[in-house]
Amino acid sequence: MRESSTKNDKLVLASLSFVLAGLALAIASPNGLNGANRQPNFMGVIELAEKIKNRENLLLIDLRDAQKFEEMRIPTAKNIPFDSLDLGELKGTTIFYSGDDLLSRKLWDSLPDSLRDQTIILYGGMRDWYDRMLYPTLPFGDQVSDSSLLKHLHELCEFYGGFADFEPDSSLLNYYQLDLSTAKWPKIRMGNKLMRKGC
Amino acid sequence: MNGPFYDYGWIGEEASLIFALVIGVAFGFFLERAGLGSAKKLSAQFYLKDMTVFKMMFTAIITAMIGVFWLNWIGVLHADMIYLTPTYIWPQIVGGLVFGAGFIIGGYCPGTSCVASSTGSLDGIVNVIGLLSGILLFGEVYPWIEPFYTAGSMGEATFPAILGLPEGIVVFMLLIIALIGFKVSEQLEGRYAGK
Repeated sequence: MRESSTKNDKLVLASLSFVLAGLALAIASPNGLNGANRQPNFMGVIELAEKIKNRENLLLIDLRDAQKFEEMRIPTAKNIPFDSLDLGELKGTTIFYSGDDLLSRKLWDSLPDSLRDQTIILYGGMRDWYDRMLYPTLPFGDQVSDSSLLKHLHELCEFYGGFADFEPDSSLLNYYQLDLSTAKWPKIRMGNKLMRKGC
Repeated sequence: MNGPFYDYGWIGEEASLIFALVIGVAFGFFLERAGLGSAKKLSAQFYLKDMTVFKMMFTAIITAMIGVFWLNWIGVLHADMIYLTPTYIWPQIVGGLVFGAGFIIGGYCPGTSCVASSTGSLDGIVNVIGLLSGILLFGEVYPWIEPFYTAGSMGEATFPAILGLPEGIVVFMLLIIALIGFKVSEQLEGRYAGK
């Protein structure tokens, strides 16, 4: 009886040590094994819009297929579909975008650390460029917290040939005030695909 | 090849439904084999005589949590891509109370009522009929209760975000809570099982 109790105690101690070792490992490497969960450097739509408007020298790559690229693209972007992208050809800082971040995320997962350092991802991809830059819904009225940002956004929107809708909702500016240096990948919207719900 | 397979685009809708079917069948099979198709066993949980439901469900939750955490850590699974049901605090508190009342009155939860029905249990079948009628009724009255249904929205709330703690710490805390829970449940069973 005493022997079995000692055996159980040893098992509990071993399990506890295992759990604590796991905890230490998780805390020591919050980005996961080999930086598996490292977040990329994101660029927001306003910053990109300003850079293109100011004719800054940048390499902007659209990862979608040629058909989608023909339908709509961000000015100055070059189309290199995800499947035909050669990582060996990447040199210097490159900004990537896809339709809904999925291809950008697949690219990010496949990049070695050396290339990750010089890679920038357009936050929200083509979807956010369309919804937040070309055809945004912006706040109006007394509740606007940052009127200069609002004015700047409206100017950029018109510069790129879009138009804005206005609603009396001050939270509509929150998206543009996100701190992208600590941002995580945005949620991918699944369009008309199945929506999962818990039981 | 990273997961979630469906969200990451590795499998389509049809394949994901096949996966769901296989996992669902396995889930139902093991629920039944664990004895959770019995209303007596399930209701004994509420009288603290048999804590199998608590132990089984908590074990499943903890196992899934640890699996998701470590698969995410090694980069095989992107946990942030897993769909989270948004939290609507007030309707979910009321829903939980209704669920608990239904559980103790009917003797089954939705999953176990299906498991019991599959074994031909009449009370299980009646529960499933009630379940489907409730869904139908909800659909019919939804326009009137929509403001309450969407009250207290917190978005996709998670413990690490709310507590401001790293995920590893939260996983560890829940693991310790589960172990304490198992120990306490064993003691409760010992005290109430014969009564």
